[in-house]
Amino acid sequence: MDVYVQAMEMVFRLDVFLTLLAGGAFGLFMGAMPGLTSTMAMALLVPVTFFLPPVPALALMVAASSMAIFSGDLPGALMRIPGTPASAAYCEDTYYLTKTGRASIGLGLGLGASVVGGMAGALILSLSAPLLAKVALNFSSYEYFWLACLGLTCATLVSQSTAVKGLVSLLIGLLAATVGLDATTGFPRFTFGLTEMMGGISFIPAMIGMFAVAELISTILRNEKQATVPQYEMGSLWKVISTRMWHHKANAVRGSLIGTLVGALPGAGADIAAWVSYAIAKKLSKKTEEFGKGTEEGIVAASSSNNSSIAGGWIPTLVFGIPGDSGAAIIIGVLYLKDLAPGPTLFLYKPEVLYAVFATFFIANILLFLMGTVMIKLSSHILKVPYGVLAPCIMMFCVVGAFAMNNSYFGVAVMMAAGVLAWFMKGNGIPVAPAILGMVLGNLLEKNFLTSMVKANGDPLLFFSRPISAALGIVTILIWCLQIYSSFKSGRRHQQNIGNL
Amino acid sequence: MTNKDRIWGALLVMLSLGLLYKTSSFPSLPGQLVGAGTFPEVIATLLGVCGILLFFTKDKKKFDQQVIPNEIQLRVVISLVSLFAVPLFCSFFSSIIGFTLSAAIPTGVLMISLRGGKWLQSVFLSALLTSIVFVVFTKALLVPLADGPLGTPIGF
Repeated sequence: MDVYVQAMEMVFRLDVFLTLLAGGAFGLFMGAMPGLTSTMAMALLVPVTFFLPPVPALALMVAASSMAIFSGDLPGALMRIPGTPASAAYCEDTYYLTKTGRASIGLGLGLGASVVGGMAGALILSLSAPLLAKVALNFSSYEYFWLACLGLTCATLVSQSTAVKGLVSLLIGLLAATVGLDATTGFPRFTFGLTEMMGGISFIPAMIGMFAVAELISTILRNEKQATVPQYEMGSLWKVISTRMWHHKANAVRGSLIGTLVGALPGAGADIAAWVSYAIAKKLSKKTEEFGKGTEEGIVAASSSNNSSIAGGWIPTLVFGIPGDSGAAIIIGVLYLKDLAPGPTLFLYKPEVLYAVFATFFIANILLFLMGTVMIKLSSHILKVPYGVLAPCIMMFCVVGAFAMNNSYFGVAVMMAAGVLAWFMKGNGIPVAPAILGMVLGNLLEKNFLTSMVKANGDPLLFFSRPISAALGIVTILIWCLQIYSSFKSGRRHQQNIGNL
Repeated sequence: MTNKDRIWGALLVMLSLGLLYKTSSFPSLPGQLVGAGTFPEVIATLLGVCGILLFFTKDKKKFDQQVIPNEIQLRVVISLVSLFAVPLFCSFFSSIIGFTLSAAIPTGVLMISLRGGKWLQSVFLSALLTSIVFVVFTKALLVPLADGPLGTPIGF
């Protein structure tokens, strides 16, 4: 009980409330700007967390991510450009409603469902994470090795590219994680004699570069004209939320559960959660013809799903140290910065901090309801901010943020190099998210791989000697085999098609 | 397969060979078969396999190609150069002329080129933005950004 009291004392403080407000406002703004994602908002806030105590630092991240995901609905509804990839699934529907003079329905339902989804995800996180942590306390290096393999496999497979390209991205990330002094022998690897590289490549400047700099380069090269906000009618949001949300309660609950589950799957984030929920809602709907034409069911299901996936992504992050998505990978960085190494022992030694963070999820979602309402009212003005002003601001934040990591311009160089690499990768259909997960999980995977190898003393069967490790190992290998089989099958089908032609 | 995939495949195979060569000199743990080179060797091998697969197989999935227009406008070139100039100027000149100036100059150029003019507004905005960032990061967050000859803006 003392732990809960301590946690509440950590949460109900002015600094936590102010960081939630600031993070929320920043997230709302970033999410609303097309091209700026929730992950980018989180990456840009990391330098600010250096200077905050653990709970406000994590609260900042929670608020920014929750609000950015909702805010991505705004340009989707008003200009048919999803603010974040997570809003793409139902962009057509919300835009259709706006066009037909029902903007308040699309945005009101989106807001209501986001709050419900966020709350449900937070509830599942609060209940399941401590239970899973108890199980994870018994894990040995074998279980962690297979878990990391399984997580990285899923991250590679769910990336919107071929499995080979996903794997290439992952391997680039893992390779970057090997740079620096080897933990087992103290031998410097791939440092090129540079002392700055001895400590390894810090993944925070790399993530800032991969998400922000790469996007800036792409946007400048696209050289598109900024879209304008059309005139629209906005009715009463409160009326929509209070009356129509109850009507769609089943959709909201189902979407929230799916979102949390998908979010907990390593590599699958809010965008995949939204698409899966939208597809399931369509499958179960009696009005399938309305999908794509302003369906309320689809909006509620996908909106609740993308917001609940944020909390879902925190489950493997906190319990196993394996991030659910690229946003959760940033959380791992913040946890390490705050001396809170993620994993089951965190629940033993710092439970009050974790319960405080769970509480901030609930508060952030209450704030989302209030701030989201204001944001909807202001959206037409905010969307007019020119990209020509925004891009230089983002670049300067990136430079100062990467510098602040170690007060050295080496971080800035890492950020730029990572940005250019990510731009090249995206240009060739190689996804960026697996590389980030590889960088984050590289050390965990290598440490457990080497420990297991030493313990097994050359006997590979020992990797399957414990029940959970055997189950995880078999599942992982089965996924690999299925992937190889399906690749061969599709390759043969392709050859046949060419032959028929 | 596309030419781009072939190039990536070839590069990955070369990287893999280079890594395998480099890691062969890494020490092992005393009395063990594994050591500092084991994990990088696994990565290098897999990279090599992926490189070969990329070289010989066809990517049937569609993806958003990075669009580089045939005729790149001068404005885009200036924007791109000034985008890269922001970190370069900060890294090389901030110790001489201070963070405010070294960041404001390329930021101003970037703003002017992206907005297609609006000189006065852009110069004012970039100076204001840099000053705010400088004050917030040096005073509130204690990041040691270089003062330079201008000192801290507006007497903070």
